[in-house]
Amino acid sequence: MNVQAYLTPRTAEEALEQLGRYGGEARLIAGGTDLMIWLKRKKYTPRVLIDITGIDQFRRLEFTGESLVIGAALTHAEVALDGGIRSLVPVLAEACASVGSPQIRNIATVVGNVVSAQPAADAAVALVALGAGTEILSRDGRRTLPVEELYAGVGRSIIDSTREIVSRIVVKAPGPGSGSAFMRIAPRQALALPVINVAVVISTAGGLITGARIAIGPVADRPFRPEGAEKFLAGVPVGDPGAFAEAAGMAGRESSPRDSLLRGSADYRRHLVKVLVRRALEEAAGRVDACKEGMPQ
Amino acid sequence: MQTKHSAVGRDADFIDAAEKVTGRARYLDDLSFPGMLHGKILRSPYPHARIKGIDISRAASLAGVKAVITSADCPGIRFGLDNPDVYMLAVDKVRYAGDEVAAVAAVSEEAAEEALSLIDVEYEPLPAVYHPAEAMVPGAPLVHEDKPGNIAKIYEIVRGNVDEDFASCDCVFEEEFGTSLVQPCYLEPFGVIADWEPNGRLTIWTGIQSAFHARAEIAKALGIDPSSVTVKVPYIGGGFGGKIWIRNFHPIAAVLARKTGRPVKIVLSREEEFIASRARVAAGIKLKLGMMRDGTMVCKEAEIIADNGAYSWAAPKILLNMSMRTDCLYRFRSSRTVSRLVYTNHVPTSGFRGYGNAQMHFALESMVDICARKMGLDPVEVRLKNAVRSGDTTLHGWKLRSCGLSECIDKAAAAIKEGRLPGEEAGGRIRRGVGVACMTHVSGNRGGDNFDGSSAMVRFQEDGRLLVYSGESDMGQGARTVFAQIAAEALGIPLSDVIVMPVDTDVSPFGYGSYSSRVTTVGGKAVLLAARQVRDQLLKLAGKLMNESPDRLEIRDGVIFDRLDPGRRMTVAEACRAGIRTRQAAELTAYVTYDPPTEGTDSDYYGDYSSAYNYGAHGVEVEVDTETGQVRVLRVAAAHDVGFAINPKGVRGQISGGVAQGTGWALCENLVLKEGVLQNPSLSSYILMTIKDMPSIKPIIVETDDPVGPYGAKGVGEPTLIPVPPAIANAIEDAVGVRLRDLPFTPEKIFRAVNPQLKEAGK
Amino acid sequence: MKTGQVLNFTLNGEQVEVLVDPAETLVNVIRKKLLLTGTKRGCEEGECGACTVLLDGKPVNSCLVPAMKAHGKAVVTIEGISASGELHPIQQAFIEAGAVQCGFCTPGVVLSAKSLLDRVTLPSEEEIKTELSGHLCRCTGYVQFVDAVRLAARKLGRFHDRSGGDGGAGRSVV
Repeated sequence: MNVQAYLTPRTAEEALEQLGRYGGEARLIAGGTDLMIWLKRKKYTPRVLIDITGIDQFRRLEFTGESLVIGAALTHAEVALDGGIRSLVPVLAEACASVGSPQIRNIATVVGNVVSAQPAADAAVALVALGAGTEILSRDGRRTLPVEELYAGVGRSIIDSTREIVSRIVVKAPGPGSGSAFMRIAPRQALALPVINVAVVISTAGGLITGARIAIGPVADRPFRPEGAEKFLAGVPVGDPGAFAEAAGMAGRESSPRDSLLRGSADYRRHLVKVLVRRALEEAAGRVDACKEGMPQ
Repeated sequence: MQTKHSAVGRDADFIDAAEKVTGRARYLDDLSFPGMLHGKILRSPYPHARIKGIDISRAASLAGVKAVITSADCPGIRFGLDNPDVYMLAVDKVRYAGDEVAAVAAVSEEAAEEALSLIDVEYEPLPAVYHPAEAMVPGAPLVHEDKPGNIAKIYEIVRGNVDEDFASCDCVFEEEFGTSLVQPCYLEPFGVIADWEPNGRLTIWTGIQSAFHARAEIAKALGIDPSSVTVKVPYIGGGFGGKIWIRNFHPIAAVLARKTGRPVKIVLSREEEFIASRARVAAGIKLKLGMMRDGTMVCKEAEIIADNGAYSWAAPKILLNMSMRTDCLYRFRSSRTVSRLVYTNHVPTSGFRGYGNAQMHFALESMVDICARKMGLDPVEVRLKNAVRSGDTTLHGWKLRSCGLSECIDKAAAAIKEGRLPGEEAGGRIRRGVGVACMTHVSGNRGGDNFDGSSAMVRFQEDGRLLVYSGESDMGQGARTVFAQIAAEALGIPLSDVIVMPVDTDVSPFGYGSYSSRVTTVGGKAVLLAARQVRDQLLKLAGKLMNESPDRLEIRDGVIFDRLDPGRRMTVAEACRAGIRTRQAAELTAYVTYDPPTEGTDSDYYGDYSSAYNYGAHGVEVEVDTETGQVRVLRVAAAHDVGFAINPKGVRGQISGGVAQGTGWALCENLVLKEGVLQNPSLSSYILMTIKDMPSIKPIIVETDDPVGPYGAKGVGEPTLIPVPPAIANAIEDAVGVRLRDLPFTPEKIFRAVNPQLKEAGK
Repeated sequence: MKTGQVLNFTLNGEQVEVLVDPAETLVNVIRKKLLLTGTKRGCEEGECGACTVLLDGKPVNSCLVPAMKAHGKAVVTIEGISASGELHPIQQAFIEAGAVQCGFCTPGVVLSAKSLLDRVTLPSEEEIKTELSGHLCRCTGYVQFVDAVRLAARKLGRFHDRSGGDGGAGRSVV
């Protein structure tokens, strides 16, 4: 490896200054669970690594008003085990708890899961369903973009980690009357990438669904939202099994999984999309009821 | 039993567990020597290609690189077992994607790795063969020019008059089955350190199951005498048959070490463990079974076409086991098997727990259920009706000196019926079922007149502690502990006073190694006989010291005493002290070479060739999600006739480990090759069971007191995996009414079988 | 030319200073530079768990962690939990439960078990399985791992009772 320095800035400004100083030859590292493998395979050959996990402001997990803010240094384990997230945004906690193994979750960051841009990334799929946004810092200033707009292709993010930093993820916490769920099918119960994963967030009022967001992976080059199914669900009674099956069927038809020697045929995986979307909708709807009865999960 | 024995028949903690649990146990990669270099191997990316040229100049001039070798630097010797068909580095052409082309020794792993990328090889890709059936077609590309039709081995084994018997049967059934390529996947990557001693001898450190075979094969590959080679075995991080035989990297390291004059270490990467190790022989099996209406199994016919891969290694032996052993599970009157082992441009195949036997068990034990169901009979009853029994001589001439098959079937079937979950749930979406399958295997394997024994040396030290030497490796299964228990029992000394030495071919007595589930049975017997000899020596010495006739002396808990006057006593340590380093000049050492009383086989493979034969049966309960095709194995009741459990804790560990490997093989493990190139060469894409995937396991130990094995013991290592895949297949049919004939049972396969109307599942 | 970087960290309770390559993995520093070989290399891609160490008390795959990440932090390897020469109760439990066969995965599994038992005095079967789900074992079939952790929990309970309040005793989050 030809990495010549490992830097540990204490502030975002310092990190940006260091990125600038090395003019594209420095790369950010957070948890590093993907990056260390890529370095070994020479996918990247930076001269300098800048570790942002020691930056205090990136270590924050905050509920501000209606929003949940997840700093760039927070790990999957920290998010999965946080009591507030588990009760308010179970879809995110469940997704984070599905990633890899405890050892991976203890170090891999949620922001990293997004920036690695794998279409099957569990946390990212949940964040897309939640309509989460990101804050991006560069020497040119600060901008915000939704998570789902960060994708440039499989494994390719629009974020250039030699120049800019995703400093935080902002999730608008689903309000009262909402429900969410995450489900996946994988070849084993741990340490596995999903064959299909699905995150669902629904909002309801007066027993009717007022809005639904569904994200599915890996059926496209990024977490995929079946917009037809989402639209169809608006106005549907909560817990209408026929409507959920109909929406799930639509989601299946809208998805374009590929034939994969390891994950299964496109047909079969499209079928799994239908099954998981329906199950996730049912689960999310059940949680709406639970909230009404004052028993949040 | 507990009252009869002090050390055997009791749960013993593994005597080397403390080293392992503290991280002090040294495996190959934990060793290093002054000046040691790191070796890496360049492998072919093509499944079949001519090597038009290799330019090593850029690699050789890289800083830190001490040697770069190609076949031109190696002895031009083809080595191997039945079919010596491999050069340590490819000559003229490569035969699979992973074939060894060149090798580097450098001062660091990183430099060696970088040097590989600087070796320029010009390949001319050749047409390749990926399916055994296609490879046999006349005119198919040849993997080896001197192997016409790509045939590596053919067997035709006939017993009795099969045609006549089939004609007399009430029912004749035919089915086809297929098994997949899977890797042993031991956790410790295989490796070697080679060093040439100043006296010209070669020292090899390697965590191998068969040190003496390794010595012979390494010598053969290098063209030197076996006695010029020492093989030293550090701790082994699992083997499961994948570390029985040497690999090309063993002699390659020796050549690199000779060229550089320094020790050279090569440890495979996990990727190399997948692309270039030795997978389980995959086979297509056509099976025909003739039965009477009452469930009597009469005759069996099989046709096997098996994938040898690019080089042969032990695959011919594996094919032989596949062709024969299941005929000794039931009282067949006749059988005929024609089997072909075919070269392809795939990863070479070889042994993995079960050694061929597991593949045919999958076919036959699936078949028994299929036939019983078609005839409206209970598959368990059919098995019991036909099971071989103690005293039988089987169709292939095995003499069953002990056989607990019926008891195993009874116990496994009863245990799995107990505490069953509902057959249906969630409106029929979840379905559950149970299935049973049986197994037979060996405890040793004498081919022809070959030795099938083991040797042991035991030596008392002057402090009364005992050193035990055996040529059999402990790869983690607990062989050291079993040897220590046997020696402690035979001598009446505490287990903690026995030290079992590492295998070193210069020091250890000759043995074949850890395979064929033979270590306890033959290795343990050698230890027992040697310990008894030393006991005689010790009592003779003590008799002299105590002025007593040795026949009146006994040893218990490390104390030698007069049976008729127990007050007269001395400790073993006192006797040793008085016998060693004194003018008594007591030997207190025994070296025994033991060969079990079996005849071996004739030229037609007929005969009694194993010290003992193992039997078992598993019952499993599965749960199928009919909507997704996912299967979970919920429970396994695993009954094994082990003769006598010297260490029941070790037996239970073998059972749970074998069940995990068998379940993985059945459900999720699979080497996926696309035109000869492996698509899943990592532990994230090659799916092993995790702790969360495991069923609950009920181990059931059946003891039949084998008359030959030490204290009545037989082997158990391989048997525990063998019945798992067919038992799961049978349980799946019980749950959802579909029969799966090809391993592995992926969710998609099950989904499509359960929902045949959904041809286009997603539409 | 490679540039060395100074890494300062606490390894098994002792302050260590060592020159490392900036992107060198923690497992290689521990094994090759600090010569503690109890941490095993099974896949070097974070898929098997054999290289697990505790970083500030949490299990991580040391093959995926740049050594510099340990700067200023505390690392515990298998050698660190029985430093006194006596087996830790968890190690003893693994031996007694038959959870050790070839031993190659064992150091990592023991450390994950320790991390769990440091947080939860009496973990449920599900908690044990989740905590150990990042370890591949090819020998045991895992069932003895669950037995071992339960046995260790009992041993630690007794140990704490005897010692009248060890630091870890009251830290249950159950």
